[in-house]
Parts: sequence; structure tokens; C-alpha cells
Amino acid sequence: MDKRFIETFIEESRELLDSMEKELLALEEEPEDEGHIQAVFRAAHTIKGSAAMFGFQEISEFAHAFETVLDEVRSGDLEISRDLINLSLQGKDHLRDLLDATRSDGSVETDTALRNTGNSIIESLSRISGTEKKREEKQIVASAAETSDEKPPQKEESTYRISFKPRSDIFATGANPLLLIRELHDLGRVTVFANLADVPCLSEIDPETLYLGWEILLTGGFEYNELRDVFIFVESESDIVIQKLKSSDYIDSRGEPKRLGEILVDSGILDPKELKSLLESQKLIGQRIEDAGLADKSEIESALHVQEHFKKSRIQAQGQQGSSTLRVSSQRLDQLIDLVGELVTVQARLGQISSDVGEENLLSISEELERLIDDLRDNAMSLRMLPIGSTFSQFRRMVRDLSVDLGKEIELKTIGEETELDKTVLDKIHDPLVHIIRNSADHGIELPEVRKKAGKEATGTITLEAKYSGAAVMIIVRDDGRGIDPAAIRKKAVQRGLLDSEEQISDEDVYQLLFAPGFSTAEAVTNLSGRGVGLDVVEKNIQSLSGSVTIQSEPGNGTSFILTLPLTLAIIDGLAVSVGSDTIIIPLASVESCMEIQSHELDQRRRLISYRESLIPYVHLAGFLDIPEQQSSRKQMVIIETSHGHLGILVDEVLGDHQTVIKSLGNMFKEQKCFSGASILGDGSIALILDINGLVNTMDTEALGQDAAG
Amino acid sequence: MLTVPIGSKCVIDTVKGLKSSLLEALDNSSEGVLLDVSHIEEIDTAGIQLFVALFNEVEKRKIPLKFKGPMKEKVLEQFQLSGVRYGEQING
Repeated sequence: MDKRFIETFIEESRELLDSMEKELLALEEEPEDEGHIQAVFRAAHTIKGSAAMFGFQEISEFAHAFETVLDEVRSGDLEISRDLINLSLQGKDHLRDLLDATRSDGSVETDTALRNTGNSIIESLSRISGTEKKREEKQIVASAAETSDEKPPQKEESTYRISFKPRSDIFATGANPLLLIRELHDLGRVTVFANLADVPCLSEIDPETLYLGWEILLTGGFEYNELRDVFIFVESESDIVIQKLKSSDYIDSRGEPKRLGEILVDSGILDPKELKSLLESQKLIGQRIEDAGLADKSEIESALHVQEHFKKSRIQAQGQQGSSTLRVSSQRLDQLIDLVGELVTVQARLGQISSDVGEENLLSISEELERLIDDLRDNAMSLRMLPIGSTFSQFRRMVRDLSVDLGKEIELKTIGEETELDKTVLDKIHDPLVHIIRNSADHGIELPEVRKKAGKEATGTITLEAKYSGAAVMIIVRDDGRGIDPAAIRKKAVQRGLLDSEEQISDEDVYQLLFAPGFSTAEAVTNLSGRGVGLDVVEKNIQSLSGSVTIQSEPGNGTSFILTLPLTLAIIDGLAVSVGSDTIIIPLASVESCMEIQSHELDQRRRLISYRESLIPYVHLAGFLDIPEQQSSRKQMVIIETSHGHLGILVDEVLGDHQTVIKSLGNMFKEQKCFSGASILGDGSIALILDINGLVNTMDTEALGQDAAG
Repeated sequence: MLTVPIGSKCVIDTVKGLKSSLLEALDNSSEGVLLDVSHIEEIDTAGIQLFVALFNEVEKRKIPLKFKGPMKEKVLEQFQLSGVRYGEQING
């Protein structure tokens, strides 16, 4: 078997399992919503089928047993309970484990432990379904005893109307709609009308595209789910409307079955007036068949109704139809980004050379190329952007499991799932978020009785929110738990020698102390609500993404962790400035304005300047970095926005905007905090990229040091 | 009248080729085309759809279209299954 097929199978099955988990959790909340159980069943069914096709017997068998129980839920024989959801989640996890044990050469390496887990899950599942069944059997026996002279009830016949419009590219998936219609014949009596309205003439047709649609009436004593199962594999590629008809819908007053056209008009799908105008406009098609003497007029009418109905439902469906997608491995995307990065760098060189040469034609080509590369860059970057929703939904399961383990009632709310972030950033924030959410659930949210005593709802809430903030994304993890008492942290910090007992710092800064390495260890758990365990690791991870994390808390009312992250890590817009003979890049997203300044306007002692009628601190970059500055009384002040407010950066000259391809600095420079990376300039020289948060933190420490010394 | 034979397979794999040969035949014969459908062994949704498109084309160009049959029973059955009521017409 081709390795690639197996890889695709594993990848797709993983996705199915992810969606299965989501749907299971949704099912628990909305047990009456049929869509959820259908989706869970479909996932199990698909995995079963594909696993069997690739010869993964063990996966297929487990999925089959799992699917059987799900089918009982689907048909209403089995009630949805917490136990059932728990077991189903375990079943889903087991399928994932089996997939993980699957090797690309097609063999599954299962050990006894894995096999035992599978068996015990199946056993438990069948026990649940078994008990339910027995109870039901008892009821049946009981009712049979009461009315023992009655015959067992005959399966009642029902009629369904099925509108089936496969997507036009369905042939590419190998599907043949005729086979599905044939399957319907196994269920009962079928009347099929093909909708030919969209089929073009021969010279215009793409013969490998499907234009046909169908309107089908099916009568028989089958289960609704059996009908759904016929379409199970084309559901996502088709518009399918299944409608159960009442007997009055299809039997007229004389007890004769109605024509399809009448049914459609009667059930309000078509307006009689519309029908008339339609008959006029589409006379040609009808006439042709009628001329051939093949169908009587009413039958043509019926067919025309069907066509109109299809048109209508298609308009409705257009909004829901997803655009077609293409699966590309992230490696190839990374390669693309790398290439674009190289292109940007080369363009910078070309720009430099053409401006040096000063030849007009060369300049205009270089500028045009720059515009194109700008667009290319934006396009390529957008390919890597993914909505954060998929990361959020992974936490639903975690919070659910935590609340079971901890005996708490916790609800997870998510806001802003559509917010997009670079894939690399998304991958890297998963662990820090796990840490923070775990903390919130474990130590933030109180036990139900404690909450009730405090006058809160018994169910605690953890809210995950994502939103854009300039060129950054803010992710907020908020809980409505007990909050953190700043006084307790202060005390602890003084004990640890992190803070002078006399020192007055704001509550916000106090919370920031929680991120100090080893600040809060196990013994601090009780009096500090346990916060801070390993938070230094969280901060480190976030900072490695050039992001920052802050804490806000209100004792008694809850705590928020606020993560600020850059949208992307590969290419950013930067502002190139010169300091002495060096060029430094300031991320443009943080820059608020630039202003020219004369040396004598600066308050060099207190290092403050006035900006928009207030005094803000500034940093003399040349002095700070110990670089000899240019001899000129005119300087430039770049005003940036930081998490601590405005800050001025005094530089020699502002060179202009620069598309900055971020290159990492390597391990040798990992101890320095002021620069997040480097970029290659047009002339081949290197410019360091200023890390705003790092700079602010370093300045704080140095200022403290200076103050202490002075 | 030009006779155009349709091979044994009128399915997704062959519809592209069939389309070109049918169009060519229509272009070269204004007095009409005789389609030999007696050899079709296999037809699927794409094949049936091609027939519908052919009907639309001759309708537009006003070219007489006749069939040489009969079509095999299993092919006719596919037409019936599809709900496209041309099978009977083709079979005369």
C-alpha cells in the first residue's frame, strides 16, 4: 500500500476524531440536537470504513463496536448520560491511541495494555447499552402482558421527500449518484425526478462536472437513520434535504396518491403563480418530451416544479457552501515563507543598488517589484494564518476532565474563535495556555459549596477570549474564582528577598512577581491560591514568541491572564533607524509617531520628554547600547507604545520602513533581552530587531539599579 | 445521415472523448445524425448527463437526431434509475 495513502488516512482520521470530541461535548450540552450525534456517528463510521479498506483490522473492529452503540443513541434506544459521554470520549481517545500506534508501513503495533483498554471500553459501552435494552425489554414484556391478545405492531410505512443536489465536482471523488439511488430502492418504493435545468448543451458542457440534481419520493417501512446512511459519504459534498411527509401531503381527498407537483405546491415549496410563469418560460423543455409522447402534461408540470424547487434551495444553500480547499503540508508552506523571505532580502539589495545608481528605469522596476513582493508576502503569510478556535476547542475536553477530577463545576466559554494567528505561534501557545487554564481550574475556581457561600453561582466560568490589538493578538484567560491577594504576594516576595519591605509598587507589578523563577513553589500554594507554580515557564514560552503576559486580579472576583502575541514570527514591518553607524529595526506595530528633536530640548537628567501634553520617559539608545552616536544636535525621537505606556527612543536618524525578515540570533545571544532577532539589509549588513518588551524590562532593572546606586 | 457509433463504455472515463466525437459529427452533418447506441454495455451518471446535453444541443441547432438501437436492458435500467426519461425515447 502506498505510504502516502496511509498517511492521509491517519491524518484525516485524526481530524475526524478532533471533530468527534467537539461534537461529543456539544452533545452533552444539547442532547436533543440531532446534528451532534449524527456527526459523531459519521466520524466513527468513516473511520471504520477507511480502516477496513487499509487493512487496519483492530481500528476497524473497535470503530465498529463503538459505532454500534452510537447507532443506538442515534435511534433513541439509548439515553445520553454523563457516563455514556465519558465512555465515548475514552473510546475516541482509544481510537487515537490506535492511530498513533499505526505505522506508515501499514502495520499496527498494539501491545496488550492497549488491547485491554480497548476491550474494557467496549465492555463498558455494551454494558450501558445492554442495561438500557434490558430495561426496555422489561417494559415491553410488561405492556405485552397487559395487552397480550394484540399482535406485535407492524412497522409503519412512511414517505420521505429527498432533494439531492450533489456538488458539481463530485465525480472527482469517485462517487456515482446512481448507486445511491439504487440503494434507496432497497429501502422502499422510489419515484425519481431528475432535474435537467442546469445541464448545458453539448458544446458548452464540461462532461466531468455534474449538473444534474434529483428530487426523490421514497415510501417504505425503514428507519430514518437507514435513509440517512445511504447519503453518509456524500453528505458533505451535497445539498441534501430530507423531509418526512404527512399522509395528507401525498394522498388526495379521493384516496389517490397526488402528483409530485401537487405535493410540492401543497407543502408550500412552490407558489402556484410561480408554477404558471415557469411553465411558460420553460415550455421548450417540456414541449420536447411531450411531443415525443413520453409523459403527460401533469408529469411535466411535476418535473418543472422540481426544477424550480432546486433553484430555490440552491440559492439558500449558496451561503452555506464552503469554498473548495486544498490540503498542503505545513512544511511546504514554511518553504514558501522562507523563499518569500529570501526574495524580500534580495529586493532590499536591488532597491539599494538601484537608488545608488539612480537610473530611472531601474528604479521604477525595483519599485514595482517591491509592490509585488509586498503583495506576495501578505498572501503567503495569510496562508499560515489559522483561526484560534481549533486550539480553544481542545481545551473544552481538558476543562471538562478537570472539573470531573476536581469535583468542581466549571464551564468554559470562548470568545473570538475566528481570530487568526500564525501557525507557529498557535502551536507554541498551546502549552502555556494548558498551564494557565489548569491553574485557573485548580486554584482559581472554588468548590461549588464555597462559591455558594460567597454568593456566587455554583458553576464557575473560565473564559477564553482572543482579539486583535494592532499587529498583535491578545488572548485572555479569565476566571471568576477567588482571585489573588496582592498583599500575600508582597509578603512572600519580601520573604524571598525579591522586594524591599519598604518598597511601594503597584498591584499590577506585584502580580508580575509571580513570574519570577521559583517564586511560588509548593509551600506557597495555600496562601497564594497556588498561583505561580511554574508560571516562569509560561512567561519564558510567551517571551520566546516575542509576546508578553500580564496578570490582573480582583480578590474574590477572579483573575485574568493576558497574553499579548505577535501575529506572525516570520516577516514583519519594521522601522529602520540609525544609531551611530548601526541600523536598528523597531517593529512598526509598536511605533506611534516620530518627531525631530534638538539636543537642548531634552531633560537629560530625568530622561523625560513632553509628548502630547504629558511627560514620558525616553531611552537614549546610543547610550543604552554603548554605541558612539553621530555628532549632530538634531535627533529623532521614536515614540512607541508598550504595555507600560508610552516610551520615547532617541535615535540619530529615522531611515524609513523596512520589510523585516526575522532571523533568529542563535544560542550565543540568548541571554540578552533587548533584541528579538536580526534582519539582513539591502547592502548585506545586519540590523538587529529591537524587542520592545525586553527593552522595557531591562530598562526597569537598570533604572532600579541606578536609583539604588544614586 | 451520418452514423455515429457509441462504444461499449459511456462513463466518466470516456465522456470527454465522446463529447468531442459527437460534436464533430454534429458539425459535419447538417441533415442529421444517427447514433448507434446498441453497443453500450456500461453507462453511469456522467454518461446519462452527456445524453441530456446532446439533446439540448440538437434542439438548439435543429439537427435531426435518430437512434439505432435497441439499447441493452441494463443500460435502459440505468436511465430509469436516474430519473432521466430519455431512455425510452432513445429506444423509440
